[in-house]
Amino acid sequence: MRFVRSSLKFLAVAVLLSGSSAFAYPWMVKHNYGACGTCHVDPSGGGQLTSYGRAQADVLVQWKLHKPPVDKEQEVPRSANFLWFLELPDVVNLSGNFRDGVLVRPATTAMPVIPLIMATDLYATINVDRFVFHAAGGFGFRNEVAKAIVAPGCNPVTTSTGQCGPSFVSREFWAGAKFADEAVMVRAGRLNLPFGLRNYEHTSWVRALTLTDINVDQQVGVAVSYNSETLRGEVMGIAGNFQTGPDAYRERGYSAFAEYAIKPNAYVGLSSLIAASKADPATLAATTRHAHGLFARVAPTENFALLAEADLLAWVSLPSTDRLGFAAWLQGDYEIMQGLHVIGTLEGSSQGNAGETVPSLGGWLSASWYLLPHCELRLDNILRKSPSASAVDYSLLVMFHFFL
Amino acid sequence: MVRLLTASLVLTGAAAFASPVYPADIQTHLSLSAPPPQSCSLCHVNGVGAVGTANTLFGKAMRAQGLVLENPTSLNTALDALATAKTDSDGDGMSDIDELKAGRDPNVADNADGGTGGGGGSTSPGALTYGCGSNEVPFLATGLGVLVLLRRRERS
Repeated sequence: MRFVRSSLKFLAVAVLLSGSSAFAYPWMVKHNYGACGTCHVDPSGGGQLTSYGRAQADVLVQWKLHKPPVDKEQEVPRSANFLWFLELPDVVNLSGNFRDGVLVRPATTAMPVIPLIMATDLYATINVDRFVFHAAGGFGFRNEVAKAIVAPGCNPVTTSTGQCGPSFVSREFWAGAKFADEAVMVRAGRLNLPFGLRNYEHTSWVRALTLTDINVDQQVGVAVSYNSETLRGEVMGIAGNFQTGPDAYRERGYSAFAEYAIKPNAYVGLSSLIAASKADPATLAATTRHAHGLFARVAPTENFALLAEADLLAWVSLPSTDRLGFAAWLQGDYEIMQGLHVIGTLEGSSQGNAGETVPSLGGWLSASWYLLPHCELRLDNILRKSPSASAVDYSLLVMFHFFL
Repeated sequence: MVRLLTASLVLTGAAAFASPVYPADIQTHLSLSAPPPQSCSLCHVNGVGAVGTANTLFGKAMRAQGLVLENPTSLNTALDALATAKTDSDGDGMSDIDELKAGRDPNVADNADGGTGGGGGSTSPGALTYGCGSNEVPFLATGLGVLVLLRRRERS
């Protein structure tokens, strides 16, 4: 136990002295740190934090009016532990992720205010030598989490509401092994698809249209990841989402990304995904889905990060249907003071449908406040205009996020 | 915090991004024997309802007739308007409402039944369902087996 605490102290001090941080969020590029697996159990980022990542969340992400003196920064915050106080042995990593909120849509008369449960997950990870076993489980409601539902089995058509009820959901579960001094990791199980920016705005078009969001778009497969200071990437063979059925709807193919550090504060990457199913859920036709694109993360200053992604999309249903579209995302994250962010985002998309002569456009104005250890309060003003709509759709998302 | 979570859990009986009762409402309004087998996919691209994804051919036709989120009255009005106009979104010769009544998909043109319509229902793979059962066990067993072999090899 003493060794763990000492190691954490050493890591925290090392990172603080070098002015670096970890990829708890894509905008953490502003702190010049390249290896996602240092702070996240998933080597490509997102989801459960390692004990080091938890410490960094409190040291570098949490709101602070004034930065503490250097000698105090060297102390690992006690709140970085599980449940804010419980120090666990190295072999076990337990935590949880909870996101709740309210969606306000003033122009909608029927339900202008909608309470949301976005995530209620508990995480468990076991580390044995080079081997890692990870699982996430929680509950969710209706079709917003349908793709992650484990039990009870649900067929919306047979329910009186046309929706699934409260269900146990599991977004991720996998087993992995690390090689080459932990630079390479092989995993098998239900995984996030490696593609583009792993941003938390899962309704963003770059995530929703490529079906690579970390809310519900995990699939079963085998992945190989590589992480070094200047290069990181992951390739995954997709065997399908076995929490949906029948088999005709399941996709088979691959998803991959590679990201290169031009400078410590500038990263560029490319992504590629091809997945085929015998029945697209929307058209029921055999469809091969393509998504190929570029993404970048640049931090011109210590307080500002730019995140960009542009993806070309194609839906091929031979012999007659071939739609081309795109999804794009440009986000600026300005940290007014540690733990208080103002975020502006522009996005665009097209799904290549007949009559879609102009793209859909959107804009987000957001604020994020990491007010307490492991806690975030976030506001998103979202404006979106689709070609077929006569007016701009406005919604306000108020989200409270905390992790154990 | 506990109170906030509890309140959210209690309040979450309401719908979130999509309009969860619409498939059942379509069944009632058109006197179908069951809700449309496409469920959310009837209107929503990618199968899961969310704001901004009601972009299938049928979904667009309904929105053009005034369908809005969380408003069953607008749903019924739009269905009636499509019936009056005999709208045929997929252009296969059978109107959208007739296709729904025949248990077919108004988004998919399928001329296999004679060249003048029929929708895509004839080759339907079945309704999309959620929940895994034991589907993933073979994959997990394989993965775990590989890891056990690696560990044994390492020890030896």
